[in-house]
Amino acid sequence: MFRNPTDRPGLAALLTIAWATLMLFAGHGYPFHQTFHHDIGAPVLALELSRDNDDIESVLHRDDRTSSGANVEKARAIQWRANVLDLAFIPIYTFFLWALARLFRPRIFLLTIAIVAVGLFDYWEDWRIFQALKGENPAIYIPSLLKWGLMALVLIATGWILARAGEAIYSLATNRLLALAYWLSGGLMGIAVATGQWFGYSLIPLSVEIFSAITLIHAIGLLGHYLTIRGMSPVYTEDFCDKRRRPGGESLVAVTPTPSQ
Amino acid sequence: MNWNLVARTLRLTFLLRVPLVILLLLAALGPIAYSSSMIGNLLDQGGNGWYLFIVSFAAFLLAFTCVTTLNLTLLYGKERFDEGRSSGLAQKRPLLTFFLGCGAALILDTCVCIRTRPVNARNVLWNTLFLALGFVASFAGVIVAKLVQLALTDPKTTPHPPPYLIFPAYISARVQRLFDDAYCWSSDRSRSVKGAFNRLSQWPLGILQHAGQGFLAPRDAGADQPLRLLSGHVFAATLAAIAFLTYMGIGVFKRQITATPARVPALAFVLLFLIVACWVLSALAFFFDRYRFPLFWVLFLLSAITSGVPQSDHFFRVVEFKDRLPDPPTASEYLATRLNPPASGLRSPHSRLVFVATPGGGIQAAAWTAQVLTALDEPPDSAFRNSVAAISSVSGGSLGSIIYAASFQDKPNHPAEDVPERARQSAIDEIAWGLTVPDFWRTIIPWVRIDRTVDRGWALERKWAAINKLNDTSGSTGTMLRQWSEAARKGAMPALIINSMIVERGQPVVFSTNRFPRDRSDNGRIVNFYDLYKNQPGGYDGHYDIRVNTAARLSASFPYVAPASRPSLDSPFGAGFHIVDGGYYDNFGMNSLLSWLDEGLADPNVRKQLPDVLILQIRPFNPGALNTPKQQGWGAQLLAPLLGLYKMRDFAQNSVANNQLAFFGRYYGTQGVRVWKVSVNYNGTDECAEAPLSWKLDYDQRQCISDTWNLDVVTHQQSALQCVAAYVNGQDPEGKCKRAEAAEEE
Repeated sequence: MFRNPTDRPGLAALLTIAWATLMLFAGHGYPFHQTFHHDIGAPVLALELSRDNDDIESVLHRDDRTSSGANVEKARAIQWRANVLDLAFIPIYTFFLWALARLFRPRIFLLTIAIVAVGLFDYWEDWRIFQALKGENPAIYIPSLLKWGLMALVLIATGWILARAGEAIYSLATNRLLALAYWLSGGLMGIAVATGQWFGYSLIPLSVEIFSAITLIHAIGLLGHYLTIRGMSPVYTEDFCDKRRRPGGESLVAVTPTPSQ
Repeated sequence: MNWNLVARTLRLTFLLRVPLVILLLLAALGPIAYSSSMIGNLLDQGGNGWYLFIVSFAAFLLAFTCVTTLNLTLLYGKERFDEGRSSGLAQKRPLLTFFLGCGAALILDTCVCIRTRPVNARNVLWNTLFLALGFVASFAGVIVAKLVQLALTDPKTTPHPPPYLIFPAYISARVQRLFDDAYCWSSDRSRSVKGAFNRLSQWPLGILQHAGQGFLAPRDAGADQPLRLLSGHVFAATLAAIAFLTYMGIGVFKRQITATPARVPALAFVLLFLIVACWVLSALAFFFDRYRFPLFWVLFLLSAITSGVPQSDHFFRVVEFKDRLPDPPTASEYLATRLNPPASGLRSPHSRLVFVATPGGGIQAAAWTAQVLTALDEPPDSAFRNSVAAISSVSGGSLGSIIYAASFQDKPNHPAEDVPERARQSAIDEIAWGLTVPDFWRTIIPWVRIDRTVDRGWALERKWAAINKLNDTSGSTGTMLRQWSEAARKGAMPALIINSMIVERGQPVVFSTNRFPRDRSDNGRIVNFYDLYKNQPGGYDGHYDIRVNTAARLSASFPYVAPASRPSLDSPFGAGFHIVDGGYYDNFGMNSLLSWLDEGLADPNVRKQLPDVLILQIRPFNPGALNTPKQQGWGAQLLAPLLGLYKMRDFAQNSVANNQLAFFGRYYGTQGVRVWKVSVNYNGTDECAEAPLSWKLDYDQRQCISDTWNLDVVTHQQSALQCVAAYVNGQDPEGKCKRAEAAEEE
């Protein structure tokens, strides 16, 4: 493994997708209506961007007397599970971001610092989420917005690297299309972070979905060569029966499989 | 990322779309059917080894058909299409293509194996064995096609040896040697066979000569060489002939419908049909793609030609009589007879009559109706059977009602104890035959019809007649509704109200053993089938009748499963009403039952003798939990109108039926008639909770009917059983039954 320079980011992309899928399944079964603050549609993101007790309450229903205890506990358990999984997800996706950038550009000092900072803010956010799940009311949104804001910058910078990559790794068209996708994802994330307090954070899930699609493309693009099956085209012998009857033609066969692209 | 590769993949996907789509369908059919209550039972082969074999044979033959057409396009596409060479058309991964095809068939086989009931280790082993034999048989068919290809290919005039279009046998030197020997082997006899074939083929090949490249072997310029089909096409034509002959052979043979289970299961028919469809569509695509003429337009134009042809319409059998038939008794006449029956009539010991409303729901409704009506009579001192006065039925409930009604007539042939078992017999294989054989040809060549009443609806009703010994054979007219009217006149059997609907008017139509509605004027309300030709030319009024099984089938014309049909008295070129499932307007049969009862109670003498009336409602499915609201996008708007129409069949119609019954009870309460109601519900638990909406019950589902009666109704619906028993035994229903006007508890 890792003989090929594309293997490391490729595997990281695959692992990122796999772990994100696992987290998606782990988050299923949220028992309450998904009506949260700031136009957010997902309970995990809603908890991440909670500013006060009301926001946290809209997700966890801790003091809601109309909600059954079992549902409250279930909602808490789902958030807890998602947060635990996130602890492992942080090194995976940050490594992917770093390895991919390194694949296209060997010197990425500032970007590395930014990626590490994203990871650290995410851990800070997870710590505050654990506090909230234990009954406290921390302002989780501060590390969360710092994380999403820096992440937006990382995505835009990665897009910049790809835009200038020429024919490296992928074709020119692919690199430029991927750069556009990175800018779109990072741009939407940045707009959401900057204006979310007034217009809601619904652009964050959209930007994450675009980033997921990009990651999937990288997983296929960087590891796809391992799945390639070499073709074996049949080559037919013209006038086969005549040639076979001639002296020395006994060993001739009608069809010869020949390697092809 | 290699964009050239993406572009080539897209181009190839387009040219190979027909086999690719059908392969995808083959692979998806099993998983989709497995989770569907409507077509899930297609997969169940009931542990029948022959069924498993033939299904697997058809599945692999379909896979091989797709692989052949795919390889054929790859092989000859570069000659056929101008951009063929640049599109990368070539057989590059024949082994992978073969395994992809086998994989698609294997997915279906796996679903069949695990869905076939009963499931146990021994059965799974046997099922696997028969499925494997199916694969072997279909592969044998491939070898036969290969040998025919080799026998008919002339090495002297063929540009290259016959291609391998399914399995690249050349990967084994020994196998290739065998085929090479067969190809080059020559004798006087073989030369004469090849010569004869060549001479015979010259005429049709003359047509193909002008169809552009890709069909015929190239000829030397100026040389007077005969026309020769490319040998890949010879192989394809042979395999197509095998598939087509199998399809036609089974199709013709299957027209004989008997009470015994069909020789060929529904799934095999569907797969055989797909094989023929794959050949036809692939051939059309190969031909028209050269001219950039879309396949969609070809199909649209062909459909446009035939879809409006009147001979392609569906007709149901109506028997014409020379003499005018006697009018059936009215509801009040019938009730008067039942209350004061002659010696041959049914005598309810306490003059307590039960009126049954049984809803639609495919075979589940039929089986549950039969189970309830039979089991209610099982207690030794039960007077239930003699108390059943009328049954208003819809769709599947109509099948249950005619099977139950038949047990009052010709008792040696219709013993009452056989009723539940007969109602559980499958008819899905016959529908599949009807859909894929006569109805398919009806759409292709509607002008050529031997009997225009033969369709999937005909197959369904003939199967019911065969199972229930209703004498509907080519040598007999069968059991007519008027025959049962005469029995009803004597009070010897319950009155039947079989509900359907006229498509053109959205008007309820009933097939009844009574003169119902009594008013024959066309007032836009319920119309009797016998009044359809009242003011029509032709003098049919009063001179025609319908078989009971046909009436039940029309009532059970579930969308697309059975066609909307018109009476065979009509000429195809004249106008006519089409009749469909009664569930379109009232899936519970309550509307017509209360209208009928209203006519019966209009007679003061009847009302005087009938101070109590019990409405028995049969419910064949678990009460549906109200669906929770869902997150939806704009795509849901496309389906919302259809979904709304479909969903109102349960909740909304039930609500209307309950209201009708409440108003009816309230009114007749003021007229000195107490109207009582009772429901016997199917409340299956665990695996029995999900009942199918189909014309087939698998082994477990058949067991569920009995188990649910014994485990749920007998223990948890005691109040319903006590209500029926108290009522028919002449006790005061107060406290045991509920008044019709009482609110529903559900």
